[in-house]
Order: sequence, then C-alpha cells, then structure tokens
Amino acid sequence: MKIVVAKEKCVGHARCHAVAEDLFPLDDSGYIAVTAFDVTPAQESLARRGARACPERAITIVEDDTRERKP
Amino acid sequence: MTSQTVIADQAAAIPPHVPADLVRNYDLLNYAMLGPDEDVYDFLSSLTKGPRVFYNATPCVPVMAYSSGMWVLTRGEDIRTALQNPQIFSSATKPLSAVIGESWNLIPIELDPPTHTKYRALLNPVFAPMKMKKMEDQLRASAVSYIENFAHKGGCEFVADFGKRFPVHFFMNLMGLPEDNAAQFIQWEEDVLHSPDGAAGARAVRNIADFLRTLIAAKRKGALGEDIISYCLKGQVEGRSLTDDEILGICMLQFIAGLDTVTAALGLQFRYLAKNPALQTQLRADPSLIPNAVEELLRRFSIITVPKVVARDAEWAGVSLKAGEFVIFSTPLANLDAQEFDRPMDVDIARESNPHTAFFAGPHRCLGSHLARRELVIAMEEWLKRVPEFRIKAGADARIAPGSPICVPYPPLTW
Repeated sequence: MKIVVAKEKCVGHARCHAVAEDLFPLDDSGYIAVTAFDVTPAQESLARRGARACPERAITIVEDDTRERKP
Repeated sequence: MTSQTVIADQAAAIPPHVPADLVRNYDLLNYAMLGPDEDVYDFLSSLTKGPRVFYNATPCVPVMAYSSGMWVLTRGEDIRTALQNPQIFSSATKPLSAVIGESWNLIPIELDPPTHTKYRALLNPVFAPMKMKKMEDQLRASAVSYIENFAHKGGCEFVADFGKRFPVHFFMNLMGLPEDNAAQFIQWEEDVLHSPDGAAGARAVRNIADFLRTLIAAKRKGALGEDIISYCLKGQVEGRSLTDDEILGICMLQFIAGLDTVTAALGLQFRYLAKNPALQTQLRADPSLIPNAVEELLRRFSIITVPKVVARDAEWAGVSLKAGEFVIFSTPLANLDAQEFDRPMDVDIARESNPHTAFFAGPHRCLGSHLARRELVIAMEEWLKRVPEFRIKAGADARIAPGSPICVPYPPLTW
C-alpha cells in the first residue's frame, strides 16, 4: 500500500500528523513534508486513519493492486 | 416608512437571477427565531437537509453588517470545495478598518492568494504545531492558576472566571505585554465583537489600533524581543520589511480572531460537559480520550460563519453567482451535514475519523488552530483533574446564542 499526498491541497491542519506523526512528518510551517511513501502491512491501519483525518481530502491511499481510492 | 414599503424594498433588493423558491428570510443572529427548546444547532442542522444553496434576504453576519442579501451554501462538500477556490470566493470584502475610516487590511484574513500566501509563509512558523507544543507548560500553568482560584468555591461564572481570561493570557504573551492590560483588552474585545452599538464597536477598534500603533513604534525604537511585533519587524515579505500598517493588521487580527473564538468554544464545550456527567466521568477515568473529545465537540459545536465575495460570475451548487455578491460560509453547516458525518447531531468521541472543518478549509485554514486545540485540551485536562462533577446552575440561562462566533454568553456552573 502507498500513500500519495496532493501537497498543493495541504493547508496545514496537521490532522494526519496528529494521528501518526512518524508517517506524516511536517515542515517548519506545519505543512506536510512528504508527497508519497510506501506503507508496511503493520502500518496500514494507522496510515489509513491518518489519510482519512484530512479535512481537505488531500491524501490518497493507493492499494497494492494499483486501484486508487480516496480514503 | 410603512411596513408595506419595507417589504417592497426587500423584494426589490433580491436580484432577478435568484430563483424565487430559493429565497429565505432567516434572522440568523436572533434568539427570537428559535423555538423555546431549540438551539441554533437544531436550526442549522435543518438547513443541511434543505436546498444545497439558498439566498438569505436578511443580513446575517455581525460586526460586518452587510445590508444586502447573501447566498448560503448548506453542504459540507460544496463548502469545502468553495473554500478551496479563492479565485471565485474572494476574502477581499470590506476591510474592518473602514469602520474607523482607514484602509489597512486584517492580515492575512482579508487577502487572497497569491498575496495572502506570502504573509502566511511569514506567519505559519509562529503558530506551527511544534511551536505550540513548546508553549504547553506555560499554557498549562496559566490554566491551572485560573482554575485554582475557584475550584474550592463550589461554582463559577464560566466565561468571566475562565473562558475569557485563559486565552487572553496567550495574547498578552504573544504581544510581549504584562498581564496588567488584560481587563482593558477584554473590554475592547467585548465592544468590538458583541456590542449592539456600532459606534462603541468602532471606538474599540480605534482604541486597539491606537494602542497597537504605539506599541509598534516603541518596538521600532527599542530592543527586539520574542514577541510577534518583534518577529514582524525582523521578517520580510516580497524581499522588504513590513510597514507599520501591515504589522498593525497582523496584530489586530490576532486580537479579534484569537480571543473571542477560544472563549466561545470553551463555553460550548464546558456547557456540554456540564449537561453530560457521564462524559465527565469517562474523561476523568481516561484522560487520553480528551483530545478526541475536543475534536468531536469542535465538530458538533462549530462556531464560525464568514462571508466571502464572489470575484467573478460562476455557476455553483446549481445557481448563478454574480461578481460582487456575498456568500456565507458556515462551519456548523459543513460539520452537521449527514453526507459527511454519520449521525451528525450525536456527540461520539469514538468516531473512527473526524475530518471536520471547524477551523475552515482552504488557504484560510485558521492560523491559530494548533494553539486553540492545545488551549482546549489543556483546559479540559486541568479542569477535570481539579473540579468535581459539575453542572449548569439551576435556573440559570445557559442558552446558546446565534451569531459568529456562536457562544454561550454566561453559563454559571456549580459543583
């Protein structure tokens, strides 16, 4: 599973970071510092919750079979 | 003027492109429109089940009392995507400074991207989550000192004794001011945001502006510190230093946006706790649930409504918007929409996800949101540690007041 962040939609709510601060690091402005990353099976549940927490709907979960879906 | 001419004038004010079946006349600032057992959230919830958008012919935003009608979006998705689209929904409404005959902007809230973005880049690091975390101990000590003033007294006037005082503490600190000025600031804030007398509101804006201008001038001459005026004096936008009016616009916005909003949210959250002792018990037993409880109460009791102005003609939510018209953005409507949240009127602190927009969406996401969250969590944690089961004082008026912010003016608590 992969997480893809539409960085241009990030406005710094930092809710993803509040759920999983290691998966969703922030820059000095408090905006998301990553654009895409692979998620290990052990992290999947946390990564999904972080993605679903975004009020801007800026975070997409890409499943391993390449089906894309919004959280 | 007869009542007939008033009605005729109102009818004439409705532009011809507004469909007649979408015209409403809700007085969104007035208790009188609510039933005896109804609060403003019941009413707002009902709007999320009506048309996607309607045109309210009655003015419905305080402070900036526009006389014309306004479009109101009622669905979470429409509100979110519109807020993400400042090209159409502009924040360049009439500046607050116009009430005192001046023309500086509240920065950055009265600006649109790309200008807005440059000021946000300057200010974001000041209010970033990591920065607010460093304030934690100081905020906690402040909350504790206020609570200990009345914890042993068996009751308090929540807003006067705590809700107003606690957020002012941070503001004084931000401005590098001693707390001696707190009472004066609270009075000015009350006049700007709640006085029914427009002249009193304008006088308070003048007083605050004069105070801040004197402070800025003094900082320019003296040594710079860790306060926000010093930060602005050191900072740059577009490769140049900021003017006094720009710094004034930044500080004035901190004052207007940072004090009353937290007070209102505290009042609503503690009113809910007071009416729900089982939730108090649950949170006392497991304080790790408090951050989620605060988020859920922010969603269920969102407080802010702001107008934006249509920058160019556009089709939106099935209607034609014309340049220059106003559109109302209500965070309660966005967060009580059943298409976005299951059982939206229920307070459920165990929601699996809670992507609410109590702090708005799009580039104007509340700059102080991370501070506000921290203040709300700290207040609830320290309060529940020190005050036994509390409730609203019998016979007291703890009604929720419509407006922006929606608030509970004087909830007296007892324990």
